[in-house]
Amino acid sequence: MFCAAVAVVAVVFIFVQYGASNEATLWLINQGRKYVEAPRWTALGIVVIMVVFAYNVIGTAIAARRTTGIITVLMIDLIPLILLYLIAFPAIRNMSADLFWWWWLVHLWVEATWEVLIGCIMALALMQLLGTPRRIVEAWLYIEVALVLGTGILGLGHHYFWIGTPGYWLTIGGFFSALEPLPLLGMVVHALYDAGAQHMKTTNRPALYWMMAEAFGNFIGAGVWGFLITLPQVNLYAHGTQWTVSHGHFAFWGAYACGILSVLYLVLQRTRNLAVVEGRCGSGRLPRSILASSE
Amino acid sequence: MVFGDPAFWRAGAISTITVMTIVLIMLTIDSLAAISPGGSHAPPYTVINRHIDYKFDSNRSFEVPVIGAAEPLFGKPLDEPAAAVLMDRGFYRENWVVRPPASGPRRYSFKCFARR
Repeated sequence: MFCAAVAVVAVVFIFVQYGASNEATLWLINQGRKYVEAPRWTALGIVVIMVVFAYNVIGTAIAARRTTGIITVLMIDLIPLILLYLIAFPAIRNMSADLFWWWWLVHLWVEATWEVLIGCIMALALMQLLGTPRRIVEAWLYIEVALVLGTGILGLGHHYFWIGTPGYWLTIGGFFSALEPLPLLGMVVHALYDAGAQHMKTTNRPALYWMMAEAFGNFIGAGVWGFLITLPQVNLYAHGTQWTVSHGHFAFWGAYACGILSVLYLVLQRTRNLAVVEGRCGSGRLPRSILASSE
Repeated sequence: MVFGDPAFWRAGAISTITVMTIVLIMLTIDSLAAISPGGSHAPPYTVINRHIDYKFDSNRSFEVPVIGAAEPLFGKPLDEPAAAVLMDRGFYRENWVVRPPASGPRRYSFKCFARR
């Protein structure tokens, strides 16, 4: 059903693209706002999926009658993650106000709640991959959450430079945005420190390497590329150029694509009951082991 | 050691998030008041009755909008509710029509006042 929904949206985006800009267009073709273009029926589906995911996580923790620091952070994070997406629905008459709230969704999703989600996944993955003690992983997770939200919440201001909002956003947005690479650098340090402490010994090398690629890609794409264009003096000229697109896509690849690939290898290892996934280049061990386990 | 205790960093995270959220809420209230129509940073919708231009501001080093003399958008001045309705119509573009030109890109024209 999920694949069918994605296929329908893709076909409509490619072959229909736009309509009469009335309510039917908003429901069936697209909502017309960057990054949340999905037609309303699909946007509702996204909300349902997020609610089901949150229900599974929270329900599992309640059923188990115990929780850990990582799961607690994840459960709390899912609440604003769902609520912020609801901003995708209203059509606000005032364009400045519309952009103001729209950036709450776009920025506080990708530079706050999703980063915290990635921090949780990274913490869980490093425990699995390297056997890092929970105490160390949770301390790092809290540091990352403090840095991500400590810089990211007011870092929202770098989207308020040119939409008619008061001038104090230039200072606040510039200052806190300049600090936003710090938590991403922290993730790199965390991954490297844990890997070094365990002498790179792991039961799943591809997953570990993709997780380290995630940390580096996130830091460079989101942190460094973002920093390049975030100061108002630079953003005045870089705003709306290919710099922004490069930053966004590089950050997406680093933060999310690499993280997903890492988790896929972890899931594969579990579902195939593989004790070790070497994944050496050219050796063919991983494909062979997968084929052998599936026979 | 206190720095190795997750509870220490958890307290730090909670404090940081609380402070930043409160500051964001305060700034949001102030900003929304400033950018609402007629606020300190946004003119009322009746601004469409005036000539609007962009001029370079050497102090700010970029072009800024300049609101000039009376110049009704469709030949007659609109009051605030009518201007707001026009904003909604512009938002949905349900009254925009496509005029296929003989050559070149499509052009859009606004015909809602012809209907009124």
